[in-house]
Amino acid sequence: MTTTSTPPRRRLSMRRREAIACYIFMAPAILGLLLFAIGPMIASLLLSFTEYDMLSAPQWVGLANFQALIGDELFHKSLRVTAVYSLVTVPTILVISFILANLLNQKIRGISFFRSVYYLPTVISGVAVAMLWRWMFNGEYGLVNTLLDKIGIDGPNWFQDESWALPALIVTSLWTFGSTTLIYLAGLQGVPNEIYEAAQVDGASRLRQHLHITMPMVSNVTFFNLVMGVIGSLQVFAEPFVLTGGGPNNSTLLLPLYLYRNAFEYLKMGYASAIAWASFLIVLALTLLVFKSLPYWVHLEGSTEERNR
Amino acid sequence: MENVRHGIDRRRFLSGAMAAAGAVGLPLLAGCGGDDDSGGSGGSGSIRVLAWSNSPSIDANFKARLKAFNDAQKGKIKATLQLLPYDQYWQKIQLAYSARQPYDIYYWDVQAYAHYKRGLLKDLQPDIDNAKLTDDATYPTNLYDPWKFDGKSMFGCPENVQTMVFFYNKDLFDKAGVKYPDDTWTWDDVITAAEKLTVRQGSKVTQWGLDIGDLSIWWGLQTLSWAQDTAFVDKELEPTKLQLSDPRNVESIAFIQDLIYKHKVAPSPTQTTSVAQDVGAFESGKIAMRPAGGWQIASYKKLSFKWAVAPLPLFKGKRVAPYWLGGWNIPKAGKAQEAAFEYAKWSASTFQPQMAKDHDWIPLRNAERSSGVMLEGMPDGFEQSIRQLDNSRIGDIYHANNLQLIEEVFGPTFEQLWNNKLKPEQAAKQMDDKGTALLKG
Repeated sequence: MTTTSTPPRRRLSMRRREAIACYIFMAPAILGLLLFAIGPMIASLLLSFTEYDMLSAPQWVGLANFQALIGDELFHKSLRVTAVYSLVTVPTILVISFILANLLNQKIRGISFFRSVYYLPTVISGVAVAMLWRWMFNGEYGLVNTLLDKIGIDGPNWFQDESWALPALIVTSLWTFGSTTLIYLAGLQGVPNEIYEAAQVDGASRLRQHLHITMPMVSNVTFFNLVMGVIGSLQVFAEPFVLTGGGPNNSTLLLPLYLYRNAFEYLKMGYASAIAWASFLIVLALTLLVFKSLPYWVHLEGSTEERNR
Repeated sequence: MENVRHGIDRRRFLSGAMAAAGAVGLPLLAGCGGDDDSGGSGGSGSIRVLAWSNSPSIDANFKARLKAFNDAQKGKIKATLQLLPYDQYWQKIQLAYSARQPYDIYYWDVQAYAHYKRGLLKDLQPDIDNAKLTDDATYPTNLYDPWKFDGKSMFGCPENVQTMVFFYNKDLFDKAGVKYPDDTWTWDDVITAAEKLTVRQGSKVTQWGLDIGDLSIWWGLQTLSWAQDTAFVDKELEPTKLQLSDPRNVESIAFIQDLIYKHKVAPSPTQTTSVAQDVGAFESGKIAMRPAGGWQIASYKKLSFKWAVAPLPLFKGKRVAPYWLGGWNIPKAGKAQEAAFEYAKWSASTFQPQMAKDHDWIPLRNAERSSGVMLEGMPDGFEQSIRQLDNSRIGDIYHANNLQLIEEVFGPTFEQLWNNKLKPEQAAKQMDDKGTALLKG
């Protein structure tokens, strides 16, 4: 019988073991990002320089897709429609959410119920909500026109009327204020009560407290909601797809709908990729603009000390 | 500046994309990469059949057909069926092609012309000849010509045929004491009847004599132009220009617009939607007549009121109905092409009597199309209506940009026309300019 001596096992240091555990925990998220976000983004960037129909090999066309976008009337129209949609929905949702969050921040009985109720629309699928609005805006039997009729207004046939389809679509999108409200609510709850108490001692009215305490204190939340709102408004798809399909006469042709048409209906995947990248550049420019404006209106904790240092 | 076009091999492109992705860590992807030849349902004995979902009754018939085929082919071929919503159907086919795992056989619609253009479809002519589906005495082979895209061979195997009919609500006709439409009716007769059938309460219309129905769509409207010996395009296969400004085409457009705004016997699109959102105009029971595709018959069978059909009315003394062939495409790269064609052949021959009984599609084979089984339970006037097929024209346009033409040129312009926001001449010129540019692009 022979005995063999086993070499002593090298023990990993605590620091190294923690690092490995950290990488293992991070791996799913990083892999997901690489496989499902970065990879397709790179592929779509390459595709934007090609003519590709998914059925045959891509043809390299250089900047032709981007040049075609410059002269594409429908692309311009979809940009205008998207701009109007974003300019109206983003600020309106911010205002509604801010007001609602203030109301939901009160210490009254049953506040949890109200918070749940206002968040409910966010949980329901976009398509289901869209179908609901479709009936609400029915020209003949819809609730909206019935109410207008009560005050003597003959309501239009919203989604079928070129002039009214986009306003109706905008109204339906305002329904999705739940998440923004929730974020505002969290922000409001982080405002120290002592500041309000001090203001009350100084005799500040409720309005002044709102203007000079609440709004500056949650300006970082407003900033976050604004950035997310701008990005989200340029990606809206389900509601216009279900409610109008971009019509009538392309009056609700938002950019993602036009992209979808080119990619999956006309099989112009290269052109659609160019639209996607144009859209990305617009989002990037708008986001940078908002970031640039940050020092002028966003109150950052500790920023005064930073500046005085 | 002229853009230089270089062909890129798909593999090179994908590997380029992969390499670029690799720079940010994508080598991990490699382990997940699929082998081109793996995973297909392939096999000589098994086929994947794809069709789009129509309605619960038609879908159930499709499933029953598949079961009957599998029973008949027991031990030889096993077919599996996938039914998809139409708006996902073409994406799925294209993605399957892109992944090099095409469906073995899929149901035709005009989008498949793009697949022919890219050389993806199998030339089925030898198989069709061998299966004797070209026998003039048995099949309406004169209708096949539009599917011979190269002038000699068929790239789809037909199994059914469709046309347009003129639906009318018998209850509303009886109530108004108006005689039912028949094959002698002209569009003037329709207007006269529609005036009697339109019911108003004050300024509000509670019942419409007519809905323009599928005449609001280019292929329906074009029947009026065909009746005047012209068409919207110079030719159906690879058209080079739109010719809507031809005075006869303008007259067709003006005629439909007048039904809504001059004669006021048909609702505008907004009025139609108000009457029938999510129900359908004719289904609402508030519309007396409606020209539409004959495939509506299957779903109208559930209606609670009495209705029937007639051939399309005569326009300027003539009637030319559209027709569409229904059938199957088989990819050139399919792994079970013989078994797939067996399914198409069986559908176009053995299955024809059952198709007649099902009352969803009109069987292609002459004997079944006018058989007692086919006519039993069909609405009055059906037999007269399918006789239109003897003098009909294909209701398709075969061009790579055809969907874009429909969605960006026809669709928005007709929307404006039927909403009275454009005059027929303006609309015609607008469509000619934009459409011809698209056809050339």
